[in-house]
Amino acid sequence: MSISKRKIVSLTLLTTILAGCSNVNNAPTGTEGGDGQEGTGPLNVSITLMGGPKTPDSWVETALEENLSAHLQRPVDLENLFLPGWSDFKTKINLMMGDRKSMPDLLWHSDMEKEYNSWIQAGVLVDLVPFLQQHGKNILNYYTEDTLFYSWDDGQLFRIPGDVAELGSMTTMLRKDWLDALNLEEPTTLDEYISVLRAFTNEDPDGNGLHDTFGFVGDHDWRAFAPFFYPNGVDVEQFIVQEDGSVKFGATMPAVKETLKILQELYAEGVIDPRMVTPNSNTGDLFAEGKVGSLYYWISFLNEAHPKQMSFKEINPDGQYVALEPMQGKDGFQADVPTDGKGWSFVSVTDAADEPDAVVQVLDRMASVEVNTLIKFGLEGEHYTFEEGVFKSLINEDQGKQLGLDNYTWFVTRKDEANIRNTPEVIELFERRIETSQPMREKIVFFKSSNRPQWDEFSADLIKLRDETFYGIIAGNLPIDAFDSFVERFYQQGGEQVEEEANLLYQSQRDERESFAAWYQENIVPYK
Amino acid sequence: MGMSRGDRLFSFFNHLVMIILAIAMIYPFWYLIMASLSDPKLTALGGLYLWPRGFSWDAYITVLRDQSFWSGFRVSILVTIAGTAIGTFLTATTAYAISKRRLQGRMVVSFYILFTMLFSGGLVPSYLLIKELGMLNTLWALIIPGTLSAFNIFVMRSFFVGLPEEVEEAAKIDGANDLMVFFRVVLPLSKAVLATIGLFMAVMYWNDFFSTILYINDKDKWQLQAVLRNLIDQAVQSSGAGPNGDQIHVSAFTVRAASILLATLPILLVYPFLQKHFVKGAMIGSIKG
Amino acid sequence: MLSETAIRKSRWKHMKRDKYLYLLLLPGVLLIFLFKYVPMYGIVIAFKDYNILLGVLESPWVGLKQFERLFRTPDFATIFANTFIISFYKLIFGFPAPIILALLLNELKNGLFKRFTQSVLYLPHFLSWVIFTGIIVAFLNPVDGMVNYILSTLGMRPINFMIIPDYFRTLLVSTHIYKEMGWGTIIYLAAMSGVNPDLYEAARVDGANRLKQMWHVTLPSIRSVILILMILDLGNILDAGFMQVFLLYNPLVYEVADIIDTYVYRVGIQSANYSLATAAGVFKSVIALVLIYSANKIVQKSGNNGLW
Repeated sequence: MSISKRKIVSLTLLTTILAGCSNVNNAPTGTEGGDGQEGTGPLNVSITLMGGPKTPDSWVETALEENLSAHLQRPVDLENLFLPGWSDFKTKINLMMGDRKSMPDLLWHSDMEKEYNSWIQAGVLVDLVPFLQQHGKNILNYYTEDTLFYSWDDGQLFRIPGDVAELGSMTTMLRKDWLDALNLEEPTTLDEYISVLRAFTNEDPDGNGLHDTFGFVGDHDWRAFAPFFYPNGVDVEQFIVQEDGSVKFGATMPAVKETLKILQELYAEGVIDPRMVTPNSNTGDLFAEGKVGSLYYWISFLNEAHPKQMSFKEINPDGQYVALEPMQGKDGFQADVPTDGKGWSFVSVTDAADEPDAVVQVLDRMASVEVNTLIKFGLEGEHYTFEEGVFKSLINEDQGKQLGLDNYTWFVTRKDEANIRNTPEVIELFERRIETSQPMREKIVFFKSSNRPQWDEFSADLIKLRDETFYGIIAGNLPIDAFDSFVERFYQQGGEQVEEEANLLYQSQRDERESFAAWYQENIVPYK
Repeated sequence: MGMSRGDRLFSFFNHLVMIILAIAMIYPFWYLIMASLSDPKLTALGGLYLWPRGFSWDAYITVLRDQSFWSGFRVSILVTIAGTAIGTFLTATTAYAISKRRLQGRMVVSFYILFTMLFSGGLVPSYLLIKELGMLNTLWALIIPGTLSAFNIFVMRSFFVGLPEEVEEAAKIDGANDLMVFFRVVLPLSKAVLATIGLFMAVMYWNDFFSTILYINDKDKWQLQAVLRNLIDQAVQSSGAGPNGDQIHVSAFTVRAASILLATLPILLVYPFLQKHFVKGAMIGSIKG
Repeated sequence: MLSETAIRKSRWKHMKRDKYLYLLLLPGVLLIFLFKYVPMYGIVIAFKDYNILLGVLESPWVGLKQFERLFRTPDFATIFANTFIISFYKLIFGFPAPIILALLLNELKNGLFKRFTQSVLYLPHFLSWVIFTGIIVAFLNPVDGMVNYILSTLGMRPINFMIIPDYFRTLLVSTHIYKEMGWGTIIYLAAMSGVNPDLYEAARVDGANRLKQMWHVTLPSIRSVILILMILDLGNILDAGFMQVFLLYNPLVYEVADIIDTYVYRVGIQSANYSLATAAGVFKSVIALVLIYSANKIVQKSGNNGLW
């Protein structure tokens, strides 16, 4: 019973018409009825929390308020505004931001670039630079220069990332116990990998006498097929820098055709789980079920304490997943999927905050290792144990929810030692993936600007064309030559303009980065 | 009274069809019941067919302990009862008036109503209106905007048109005015359609989550479906991984299934109580009686 | 010929006579005005380039640009055809289904079996599409779904139903009927409760069997409800069921499944284009209005009660 992420983002967007900010400009000047003297009286911070109503006055809320009060040396009261879940949070944020009276002090947002720009224009977001210089050590030390670049607005910061994934957060995973059962070596090249997947499908690796295993599975997105595309140096969702320095949309590169041909064969042979071509399967469950030999998936699933890993062990007591280095292509190229350092969710302080510097203090406190651990895992001894680098939860998922353990997540979520759930092996793997994803990071252009009118105009049609063609080829509904007509149509239907825009942006972004570097040295480095 | 052979054959097949359909219609619920009673550790295994996998009441205990579930429950019951009562009444008054051919301007009003079925101004203007009315963050915002729908009015009107004229005429001869006719004659005669529209409204209010999203901030004023939606949404979205692979707390599949069942049960119980109004000849019976 | 003042006078007299009817009408008309018509100005963003910052009223006018954008979409013809075909099938097959079911239910003797069956038939309606499609997908799953489990026990190859374009519309229409058929009977059962039992008695005396009674007594007596619902349903002719399609479709069946709403949704996601979404809504509503209006005319011309 599950539908992939892509399907969910915002079901209501269709009917959504955003809030007008017409009331914003004539909002009252000066602070409205702050309680007590500024800086010493009780501090009330309203904060939008992702993910719907939780237990009222949860354990975490109290614990966090106590910690903040102690640190700021004044009573801190958090006023939680719960956002209604993934399908609808944008609607709610837009309505809230339409009027100063309903704005939260601390706003969490994600995937709302257009709206974000209009908030800046309307002047309802606070430039965080001066406050960060004063109170923001934890934040400034945690985020890299590269990460802050993507939130930089010509000398100002109107947001900081709420969560930035590890630079390489996915890896090829393979069933080690199946390899051993079939007496196979760990594959290192794409060709070896494919023959291992075939063996996993056809040679009954789990020894149950049934032809019921698959070689490969993953989410219904192109990232999941990275073990096949990346050895050829292509990513069909990104703009790739070519040898001549120009930028091209990855899906149109000739190497894609070869890879699609391989995938078509593997699908026809039953090596690829047929559930992968529709967006309705839950890869986490398939991971746990243990009928699949390999997937390209989140490193965090390799933690012993991950619920899906625990479920996997329960069902397959002798099963073991190992992480593999990325497969090599014909010319020896190998890479893992790089994440942009931009972050996927952000935090802003709005103009509705009476004391923005105190709000930044709260945020910076939340960004500390201590508080990050507290709000995510609870108390050591009571909710978890942590011995010799190994985290063990003493509560189940639903108990965790009721304590409110995810309520304050994604307000500067640390991926370093604060994430105690990571085992030493997993920490090492994350480190390693930063390196192995580098070759592709150098080829991919991550755009900073959201001002991409040509992309906005044509991308929906182009993406549909790509998905229709590529999945059609893989599932055998279309012949492999459909790729050639795809490339032709791609350029006819706006691909030309989109690539032209991408090339221009790529150039201007390089200049912008230079001026950012200078600014960073002057305005951030001294305050670290 | 004896049945002809053809009638008996018909009756047999009719029962057979109904039994098959009933099984088909129960199956989705049975699926959820199986899921909710399964052992949470084993639900990752695909292929749940006819029986739960393992057995455990844990999911129900988890849901019933959840405070947000109970508070949503209270809000939904209140909103549903109030909304249905007000809405059904206003639908009836409006529909009755436009069911009278002699009413001047009836066509204009009908078109005025129909137009709202097809065109709406969207979320923002509605939100601003509710704000101007001072109804933000109150239960009124969950109740009042949904009271009238063009569909319900037209359906109700078509029933009123079908009422026998003579009964109303008789009352008028006895000196009753239109108000008295409506309350004393028409409403009692229209229990079936009132029950129907009432049921439609109750289900609409019970299933509403979007009003909460638009108008409510306080966590103790969320409708149950909004609470539920969030629970399911999160799980559907994440399969144990946040948007970038980090682990978040997601309710077990069993807990989700149990929540859906518990949240649906109350509204399912409404229909059997209304059923007596759908019995053959019910209306005629009430004319005679 | 009456003079104009005379007409006005008689009109005034009529209105005075019907003052209590107007009183009954008033609260509804006011509420509709307040909650439906006051926000209606939001429609103008279909003709504007909506900018969140400027709000509904201040955003610049762009005339029909959004509509042009919609029609210029490379696949517009396909998308429009898909929308129409899917909802047309839903109407053709989905509309009679609850009528037939209600007629059959009506033939059951009042008793426990009838009450039970009635209460069970409308169960699927209460599951949201997210849940319902989840169950459908699990049921049809090519690897371990129940249908394919049965197929493979019978020695057949499993079928991935979700990716075969030829099956997809059938899947949409049948799951739609599956979910809504039972719920749809309620209105008809209510209408049937108004049938005078004497009519059946008379028909029986004339020697009509059950099928004939259904055809000659029950059906004619619910005709007006059927017509009204038919007219109102025509208003949905360009609503092929966004949630259902959105949750079930995939790139392999785009050619038969992509509809106006899913298209607008995808464009909306890419570029936060709310004006386009509104324009698509207005386009659909105008067509619906024309259809409803004409259907109503036809129904009235044929001597039946229409919407007014």
